[in-house]
Amino acid sequence: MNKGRRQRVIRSIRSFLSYFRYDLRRNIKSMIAVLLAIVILLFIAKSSVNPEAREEKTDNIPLNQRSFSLVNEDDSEMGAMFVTGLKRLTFLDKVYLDDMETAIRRLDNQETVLMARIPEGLYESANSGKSDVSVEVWFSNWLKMDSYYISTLIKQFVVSAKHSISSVFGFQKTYAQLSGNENKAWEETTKITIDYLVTVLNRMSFLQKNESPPFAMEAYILPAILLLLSSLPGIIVLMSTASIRATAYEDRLLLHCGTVIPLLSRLLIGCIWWILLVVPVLFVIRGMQPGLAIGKISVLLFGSFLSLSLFMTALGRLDTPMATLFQLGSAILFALLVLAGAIYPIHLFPAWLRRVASITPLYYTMQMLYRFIAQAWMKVDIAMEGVLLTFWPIIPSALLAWKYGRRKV
Amino acid sequence: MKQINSIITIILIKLKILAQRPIVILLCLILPVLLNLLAGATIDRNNAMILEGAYVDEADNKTSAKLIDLLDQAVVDWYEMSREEAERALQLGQVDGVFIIPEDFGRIDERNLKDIFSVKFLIKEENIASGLLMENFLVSVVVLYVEAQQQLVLLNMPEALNYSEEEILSLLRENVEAAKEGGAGLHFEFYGDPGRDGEERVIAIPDYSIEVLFLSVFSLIGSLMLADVDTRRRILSVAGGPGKDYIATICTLMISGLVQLLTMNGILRLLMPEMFRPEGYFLIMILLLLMMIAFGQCIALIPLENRVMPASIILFVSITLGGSLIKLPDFWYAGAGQYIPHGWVMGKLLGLPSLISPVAMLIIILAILLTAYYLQVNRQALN
Repeated sequence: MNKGRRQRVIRSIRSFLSYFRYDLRRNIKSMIAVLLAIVILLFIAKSSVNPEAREEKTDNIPLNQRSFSLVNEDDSEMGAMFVTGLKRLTFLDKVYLDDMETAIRRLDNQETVLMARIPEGLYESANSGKSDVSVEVWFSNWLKMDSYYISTLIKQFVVSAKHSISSVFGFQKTYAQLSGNENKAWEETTKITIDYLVTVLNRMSFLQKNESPPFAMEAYILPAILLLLSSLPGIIVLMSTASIRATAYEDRLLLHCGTVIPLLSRLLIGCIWWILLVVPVLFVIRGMQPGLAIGKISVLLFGSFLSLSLFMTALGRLDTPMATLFQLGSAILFALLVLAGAIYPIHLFPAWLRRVASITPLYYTMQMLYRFIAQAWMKVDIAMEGVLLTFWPIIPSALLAWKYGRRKV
Repeated sequence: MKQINSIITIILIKLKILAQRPIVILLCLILPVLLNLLAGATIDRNNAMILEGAYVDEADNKTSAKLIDLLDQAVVDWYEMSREEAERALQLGQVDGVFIIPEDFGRIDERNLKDIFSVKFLIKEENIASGLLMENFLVSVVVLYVEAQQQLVLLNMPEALNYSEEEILSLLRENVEAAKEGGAGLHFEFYGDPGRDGEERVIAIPDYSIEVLFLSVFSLIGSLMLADVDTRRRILSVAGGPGKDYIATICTLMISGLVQLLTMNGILRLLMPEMFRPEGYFLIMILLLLMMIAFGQCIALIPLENRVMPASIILFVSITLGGSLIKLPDFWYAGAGQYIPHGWVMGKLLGLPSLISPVAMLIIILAILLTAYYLQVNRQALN
C-alpha cells in the first residue's frame, strides 16, 4: 500500500472514530437509562415467573373424573375386559361392580355417570356370530355433559366393535376355507381377537411424535419479545438518519468523512443499542432455560436487526418531516411484526395471508426463533431447515442502504 | 350560557382539526377490525356438548377412506381440512383436535405394522374434548390395524400360494359381509341417551389488546394534532382562554375517542354477530380513553418540537409492558403488569384481579388532569 493511500485510510479511520465518539456521547445517557430500566424489568419479570406452575399444569389431569357401574350377569371374561379397557380412560375414575339395584341407586344419586349391564349369555352369543343379546347402557339424567362425552366414545366403540367382530368371523371362515382345518382357524382367530383387545388397551401407541412444534403460548411470547427488542434499534437508526438529513451538519460530515462513515457510525450505534436491549434478556433466558441455543438465537436476531437498520437508513433519507418519518417507520415495523407472527401466531392467519407473510423480512426469523425456544422449552425434536432463509433480507436492505441511505452530493 | 356556547364552539373547531386527517381515523378503525377478523378473534363454543374434530388426509387412499367412513358412522363431527386450515381452526378454537393421517398410512411395507397405522394428533390444550377426540379416532384406527393383521396372516399361509392376493382378499371381504348380515357384532341398547343439546352456541372473543392499542394510538395522535400553535394562540387570547381550551380539548378527545370506540364495536358487531364482550368492557375502555387524555395533557407540557418522540416512546413502553402489543402471560397482568396503565386495562378486560379498582383509577386520572391543567395554565411560554 503506498504512502498516500495509507494516509487516506488512517484519516478515514480517525474521522470515523471522531464521529462515532460524538454520536456515542449524544446517546450515552439514554443508553444508560434504558439499560437500567431493562435490568429492573428483567428482575421484576424473573421474580414473577414460576417455572413449577408450568410443570404442574402439564402434570394435572384437567378433567372431572367420573365413575360408572357395571352389572355383569354373564359371568364371563367380557365384563373383566370392559373394566380393564375403560379404566385406561383418564376421565373415568372408579368402576363399581354392582348388582342392578345398587347400580340404579348410584345413577340416581349422581355417583356414577352411567351404568352398563352385560346380560347373561352375551359372550356365548357373540362367540357364535349371531348376537341376539344386547349390552344395556343407562346414562345419567343429571350429568348430561359427562354422559354425552362418554356416550360419544361408547358409540364409536360400538361402530368399531361391529366391524371388528364381523371381520374376526370373516377371517375365521376364510382361514378355515383356505386351510381346511377348522380348529386351526379358531386358534388363529383367538390369537387375533386377543391381539385386538390388547391393541385397544394400548391404542396410544398409534400416536406419532409430532414433527412441527406443538403450539404453546409461553414458547411463543419469548420469540415475539426478542424480535421486537431486536427491531427497536432500527427506529433509532431511522431517527438519527432523519435528524441530520439536509442539515448544514450533514454537509460538513460529507466534506470531512465522505458518504460511508456517517452510515457506518449510525449502524454501529444501532449495534450498541441492540446489545443493550437484547443481550441482557438473552442472559436471563439462558439462566432460566439452560438448553437454549443462545448463540444461534443471537445470530438470528442480529441478522434481523441488520436488515431492518439498513432499510431504515434508506427510509430516513426521505424528504419528509421527522415526525412523519417516525410514524411511517413505526407503522412499517408494526406491519412487519404482524406479518412475522409476532403479534398473532402465524397459525391464526388464513392460508393466503400466510403466503404473503412468508415473503416478509422478519417471517423466517420469527419461525426459527419459535422453533429454537419450543425445542428447548418442550424438549421436542424440531426440524430446523430454513435457518439460512432468515438472512435473505440483508442483501436487498444493504443495496437500498448503499443506494439511498448515504448522503450524496 | 355564553361560556358554554364558547366552549362548544372551541370543541367544534378542534373536532374540525381532527377531521382534517381522515386517514388517521380510518386506519384506527379499519386496522383493528381487519386484524380481529383475520387472526385476532377466537371462538369459544359455550355448548360443550358438541365435539368437533378435523383430519388432514395426506394419504388419500383406500385405507384412509375406510378410516374416515368408520369415523362418520359415530357421533363426533369430523371435518376434512388442509394442514394449514386445520392448524388455524385449532388455534381459533373451531375444532377440539386435529389428526394428521400421514402419506404412507396403511401402505404395507417392511415397516412395523403399528408404524404403518400411526397418526399424528394436534391439540390446543389438554381437556376432556381433545382427550375424547383422541380416543374416538384411535378406536377406529385399531380396527384397520387388526384387519391388516388378518390379511397378512392369510396371505402368509402356505395354502395361500395356490391363490392370488386379490382372490384371498376378495374371499375375506365376502366372508366378512356374510358375517355382518348374519348378525355378528356386539349390540348395545342405550337408555337416557343425552344426544346433542340443540344448536351449537358459538361466541367469538375479539382481541381486546388490539382494540386497546389502536384506541391509545388514536388518542395520542389526536392530542398531538390538537397542539396546533396558531389555533391555540387564538383561543388563548380570549377571556378565560386557557380554561376553556383545556376543557374543550378534553371534551374533543373524549367525543372523538367515544366515536371511534363505538364505531369500531359497531363494525365488529356487524361482521361478528356472535361477538362477546366481558362485563364492564365499555367502562374500562372509557377509563383507558381518560388515561390517554390525561397522558396527552401531560405531554402538552413539553415544547412542541420535542413532544413527538418522548410521547411515542412512553406510549410504546406502556403498551408493550402492558401486554397490548404482544400478549403476555396472565401472571404478568395479575402481578407487576397491573401497575402499568395498559397492563391494568388488559388485566381488567381479561377478568383478572387488581389492587387498583376502577374508581381509584378514575380518581388518579382526575388528579393527573387537574395537575396538568394547573401546570399548563401557569406556564409562561406558549407551545
